[in-house]
Amino acid sequence: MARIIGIDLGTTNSCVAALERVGPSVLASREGERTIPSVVAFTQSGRVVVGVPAKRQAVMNASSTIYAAKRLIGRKVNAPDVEPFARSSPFAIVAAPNGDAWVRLPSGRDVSPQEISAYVLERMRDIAQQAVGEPVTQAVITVPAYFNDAQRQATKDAGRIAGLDVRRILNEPTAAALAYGVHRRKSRQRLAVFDFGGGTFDVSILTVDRGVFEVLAVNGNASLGGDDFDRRVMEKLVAELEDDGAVGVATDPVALGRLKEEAERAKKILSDEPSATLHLPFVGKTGAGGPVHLERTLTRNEFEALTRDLVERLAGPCAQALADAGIAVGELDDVLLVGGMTRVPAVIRAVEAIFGRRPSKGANPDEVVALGAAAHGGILSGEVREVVLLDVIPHSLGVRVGETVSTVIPKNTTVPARAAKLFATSKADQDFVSIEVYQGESKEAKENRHLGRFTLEGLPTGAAGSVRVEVAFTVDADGILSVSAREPTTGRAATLTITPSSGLSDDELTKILEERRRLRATADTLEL
Amino acid sequence: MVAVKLRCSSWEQLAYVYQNDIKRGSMFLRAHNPPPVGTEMRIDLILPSGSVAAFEGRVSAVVPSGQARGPGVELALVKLSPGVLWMIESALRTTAKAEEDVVIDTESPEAEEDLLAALEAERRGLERLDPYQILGVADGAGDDEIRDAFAELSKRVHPDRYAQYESEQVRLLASEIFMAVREAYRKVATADARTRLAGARKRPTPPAVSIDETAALDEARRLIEAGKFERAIPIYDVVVRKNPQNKIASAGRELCEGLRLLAGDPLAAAERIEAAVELDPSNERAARELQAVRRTVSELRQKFLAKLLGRED
Repeated sequence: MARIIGIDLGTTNSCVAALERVGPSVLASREGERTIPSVVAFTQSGRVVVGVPAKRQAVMNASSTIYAAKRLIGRKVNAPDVEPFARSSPFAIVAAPNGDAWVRLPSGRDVSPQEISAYVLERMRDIAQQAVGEPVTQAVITVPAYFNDAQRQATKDAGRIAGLDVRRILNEPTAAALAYGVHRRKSRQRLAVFDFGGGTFDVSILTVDRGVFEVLAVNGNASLGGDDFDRRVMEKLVAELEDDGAVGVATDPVALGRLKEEAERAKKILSDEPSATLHLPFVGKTGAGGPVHLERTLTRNEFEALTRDLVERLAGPCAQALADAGIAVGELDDVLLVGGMTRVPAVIRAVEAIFGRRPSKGANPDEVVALGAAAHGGILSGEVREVVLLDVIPHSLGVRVGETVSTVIPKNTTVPARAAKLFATSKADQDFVSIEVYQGESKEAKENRHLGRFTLEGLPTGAAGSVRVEVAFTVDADGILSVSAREPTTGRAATLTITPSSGLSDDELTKILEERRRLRATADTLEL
Repeated sequence: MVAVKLRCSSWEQLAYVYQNDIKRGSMFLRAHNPPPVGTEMRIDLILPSGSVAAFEGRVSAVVPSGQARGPGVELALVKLSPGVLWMIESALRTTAKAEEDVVIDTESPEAEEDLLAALEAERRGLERLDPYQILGVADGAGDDEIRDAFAELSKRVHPDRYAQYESEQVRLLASEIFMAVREAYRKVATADARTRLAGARKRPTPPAVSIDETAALDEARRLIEAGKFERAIPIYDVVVRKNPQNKIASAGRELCEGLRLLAGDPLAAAERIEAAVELDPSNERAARELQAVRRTVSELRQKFLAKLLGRED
């Protein structure tokens, strides 16, 4: 049986695990690292470096060192939360021809976030191959539960580019619950998984009973994470430096890169200490060319004041998820913490306030997601039989009627799922209908994500409303949607499988894959 | 009413109780202080699998110590739903099958074809079962029992279970089966849902019929009782042609067609007989035949589950 590894492709760090005889375990790199920074650097000599070496050279090469590609994957450049990220990132973010957010390297080359993530995935795959001592071709990759269709598809594409057969795109909180081993507890458990990582925030409510993990509701914010906390600190530091007479810090990628890293370091210290010392010599220049140094103490109180509104954004999605699941706070048996940000004291306090109880912390919140992904790989390969995951779609799916969306499959429906709805023509003798598929919770069509469009032609003539069309939605276990429409009297039908309107086209993907193959071939030759 | 919980510790014990008592509509309860004749009792029989079969009965005789199985009481079962019998029968059958050690070899292409056929039969079979039957629980089952049944079935039929098969068709069929199980669960998971379902299942009153039609219909029914259902068909045809609204005649016709198909194609037969019951819920013969044919269909299904069990255990 082919091995299926589990990869947690994180915003800041990634982790890979495989199912061993004793259960899932994290695979460490040759250097002993259990997680790898999700950082990819394009060096001047044309090499691509990933992980710690990439992070280490970031200061010297800030505009070609790409971090947090997960924030961009499957997103439009004009999405409201891409813009603030683009503003403070030391690398350039541009619009691809289809409007997607891509990265422009100083060389002028534009790179999709899928390709950048693929470098990270490739590295994870290499680590796995070294650790298990055999080729690895199959993987389960995790994404935030609140990721939409385009973000999932784009992540799957990244896996393909990395030469992986992506067996499943799995939701991170579900994976974490699996790794926590709650199914080994005796009674039925009602759980909340609070997953706060580098770039995303998820909350899932689920029940676990006799090995069946049934997700009842998910919610979250696909662009709220530890990164935002670092950026708050960084922006404060930039403002202070400019007050001290430094000019052009905000537009200097090297300075921004150093400040961002220092802010992240301080944040981590503040999880354990009441204050942290920041120290960056020669971080800026005055108008006259004199040096400006950063030398300052940041207290935990100050840090919490800077990021208070970010922490306040955590409560809403939790309340909504509980309401959707029909579970009161008091009925929860446990709250599981996942993700590096759940080490931050202010976040833990917020969780306690939201759920009215002390949350459970696993041994390592950075590794549980990968462990769960590996366990799910075991389910798919048939090695794990006593467990099954019943996951849900995070966003409602529907069809546009006039200016509004008529929901066909509501959010939090268990997948695989199918539902059908009858629609009537709106004009007399209308011989075709255009079916527009949307994803989202707003009643207004334009506030939802447009997933695709197709046409059913050759309808029988008749008065407005007299001709009916049945539209059926099917979501498979992978969360991939297909839509079909049928006119019952003539039996005319049309089908559409949703390929995201934002993402790489098949042509682009093929081109990238060929390029990669060529590069890999040269790399092999060079090593000889 | 006295409520009693009985635990069957082994399948052998259940088989014994079923063969000697339940099947005959009776039950023997050991008791040192036997309740008087006429006492109404509710029995929750806990099967070795943990499922609960519920009966209601009345004490028909008190057996004193030293006689037969005494001391205790003989119970005449008054409420014995076919669902409960079905559950016990299928549980016993599944166990028997599992012990025969039926194993599907999953590696060869022929085995994949076998699996496909088994899944397809399962999918079609499910179409004719009500939510309780799909989950394999009794009509009166409670939240816990229903949840347990759903959990066990999910672990067997979820498409992830079939992810290792090359054939996309296998996963597709598994998805269909899982969706049917999930939908059944949705319909009976909570007390509210069960009440709604019971409301939806209430049957309409039988349609009125004029006199001379009644005579023809009586004749047709006698023919059916005598096993000559092929000869009843033309009579129903005449009545239907005269009065297309006559649901009793349409139902009779469907029943005859169904009976004719019974030996060759039980699934098609089930479809016709089901139509008959829908057209005329007062047709007792059709209702009886429907129960029987459903049992046949669920046997196909149990065979399939037994195969899966054989593989798993």
